[in-house]
Amino acid sequence: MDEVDKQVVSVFKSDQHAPEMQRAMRDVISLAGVMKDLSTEAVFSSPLEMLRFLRIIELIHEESFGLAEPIDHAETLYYRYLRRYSDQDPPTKSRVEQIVNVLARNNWVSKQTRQIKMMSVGKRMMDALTRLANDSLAYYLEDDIGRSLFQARRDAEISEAYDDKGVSGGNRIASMIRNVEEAIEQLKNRELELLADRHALPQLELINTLMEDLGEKLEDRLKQFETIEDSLVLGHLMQKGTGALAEGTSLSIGMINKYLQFMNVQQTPLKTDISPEKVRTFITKMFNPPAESEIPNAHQLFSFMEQGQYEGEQLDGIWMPIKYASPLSYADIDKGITYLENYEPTIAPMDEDTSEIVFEEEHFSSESIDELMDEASWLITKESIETEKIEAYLDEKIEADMEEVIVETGSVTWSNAIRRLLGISALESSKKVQVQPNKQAKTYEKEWEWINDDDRQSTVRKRTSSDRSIK
Amino acid sequence: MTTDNQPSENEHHQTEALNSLQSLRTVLSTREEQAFMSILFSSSATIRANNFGLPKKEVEKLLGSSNEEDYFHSFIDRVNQAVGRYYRLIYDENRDQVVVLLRVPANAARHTLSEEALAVLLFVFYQQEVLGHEYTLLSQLLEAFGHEQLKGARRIQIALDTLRKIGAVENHQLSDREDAYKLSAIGVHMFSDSFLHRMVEFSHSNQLSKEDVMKFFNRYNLYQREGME
Repeated sequence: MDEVDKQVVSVFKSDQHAPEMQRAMRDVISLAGVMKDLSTEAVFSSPLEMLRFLRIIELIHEESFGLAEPIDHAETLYYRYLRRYSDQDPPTKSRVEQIVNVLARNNWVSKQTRQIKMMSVGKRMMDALTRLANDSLAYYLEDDIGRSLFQARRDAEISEAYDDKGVSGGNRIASMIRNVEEAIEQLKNRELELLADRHALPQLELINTLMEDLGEKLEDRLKQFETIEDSLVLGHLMQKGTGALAEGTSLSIGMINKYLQFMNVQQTPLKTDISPEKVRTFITKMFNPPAESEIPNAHQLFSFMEQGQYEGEQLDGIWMPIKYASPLSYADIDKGITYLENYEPTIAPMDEDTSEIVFEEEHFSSESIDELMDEASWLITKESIETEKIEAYLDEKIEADMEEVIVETGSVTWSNAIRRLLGISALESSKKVQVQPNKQAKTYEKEWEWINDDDRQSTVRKRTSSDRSIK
Repeated sequence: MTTDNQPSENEHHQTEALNSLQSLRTVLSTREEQAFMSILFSSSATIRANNFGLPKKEVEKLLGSSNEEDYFHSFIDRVNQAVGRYYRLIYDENRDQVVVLLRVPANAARHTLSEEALAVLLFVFYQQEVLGHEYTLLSQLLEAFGHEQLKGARRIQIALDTLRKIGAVENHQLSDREDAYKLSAIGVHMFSDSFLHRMVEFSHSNQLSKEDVMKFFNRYNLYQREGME
């Protein structure tokens, strides 16, 4: 890194409005255009269609490097395809024609009367596509532990190929570390399984080589970044990476150690003396052996037994006290079936009214009915208007000034006056009280005034039952 | 990377285990058969949460024989001979408990107890069965396992709790305040011969004969010894 300050080229760091950005994005859009035109349902359900497409662009590609004769038109491509690839089900002429049209529409190739020529966008995009497909293929060729490791190594290589040349390959370092961690996770999950496999050694060795290989690459990469100013930002990443890798290496070495130890034991001559001290230390170490040691823990020991090197040892794991679920009797099963068959969802319990409704006969005069109706309507009024206090006050006084009733039963406030007036009018209307003019009304201290001062000159008198009958 | 035929092997093993129960009829009388079934039933998880198995008295009552030591042991022997490949009937004198143990194949065994619990049990087993200690102190366990790692004491305690729950070890009452654990009959029988064999081989980095290992753990002629008692 001679130019420390040099920024790598990255779409995420460049100016959004730069004309170059527009063009770069247009390139990607043309890729999307081609993909869209090709990704019909048929392609989706038979992925090999895509392979045929890649083969066709490979043919165009070769021509552009001068590796092959110029292509006159789509038909040339078709025959060239037939000759080159042994495809049971080659694309039809019209399909090739269609693909060429799609490419031409998206400016990947230019279609002239006597030549199909590759354009620069096409060159770059086709390159990218082929690389993408090859990467995927390489990825799937690995087994699942290998995949993460492969991906991690690929990250390192991409970082080498791109970042070092001044073009960003994305967050390679972070991605690489993530992949290493994933691989280790996988390895941990599969550890017991691998140990139980008699033929796992080659794979264990492969994993270990990959791990070591990766270790070098990672170190190399991290060193590159040490010089850059933003190594501060990468500081924790580096720590994480080194940590992850150390863990992975010790894990894979530990697995190999254990495996080799196990295999070596098989080849030693039979000994007869058993040293209690060795047994004791071994048990002590079994509790929590470090990952890279050759001492297996109890579960790993079980895994080795799964290999079944000794007769019947894979069946002879451990003896456990039995816990059975309590058995079901026929009666219980029968009851269960009956319950399910006759099951009715519970609804809210119904309170059945068993007591009979008893009708009683009573005789009333028409006046008393009126009276009862009055009483009833009064009770309704009373529900909505507060009158108890006024009634109680008048029960005591029989007769009082309007203002006196208002203030004495409540307070001097204005809101209170409204409520009391409502109460009095309710009482009046149901003929419980009588309001009469009275010139000598006293004046009370209050927060409010009558609009018409004469209104206060009245008394409220409680009606007696005799009054009522007179009316 | 397990070989593909293992699950089926496992299944096969399971059905065999069940079939073997059929053979019991040839060695047991109806009454004895019932007694064995009761012992199996008494292991039922719902009936007895912690304490599985039956006391000897109860078994004798079921067998219709009281205080006939020979008959009781012959019953146990016959059951073990018939289904010994899959089940094992053991009598724990100290706890006065007749229990059935089930054999678990190696690839299922790791789902039974944690590796730490197994290591703790192995240590207790070694101390009491090989060295002949009467009990194992918690401080001894801490000394052996716990002093090197984070939360060691806590992890040992968790391991001991699991072991206590399945009845492999039990608290041993000591006069002073120190916690002590004693191996139960269940704990004595839990480790399979193959496991011990492998373990000792690993510890010596050398091949050893199974007989020697069994002698080392005082497991020689296990059933006969029990029968003699």
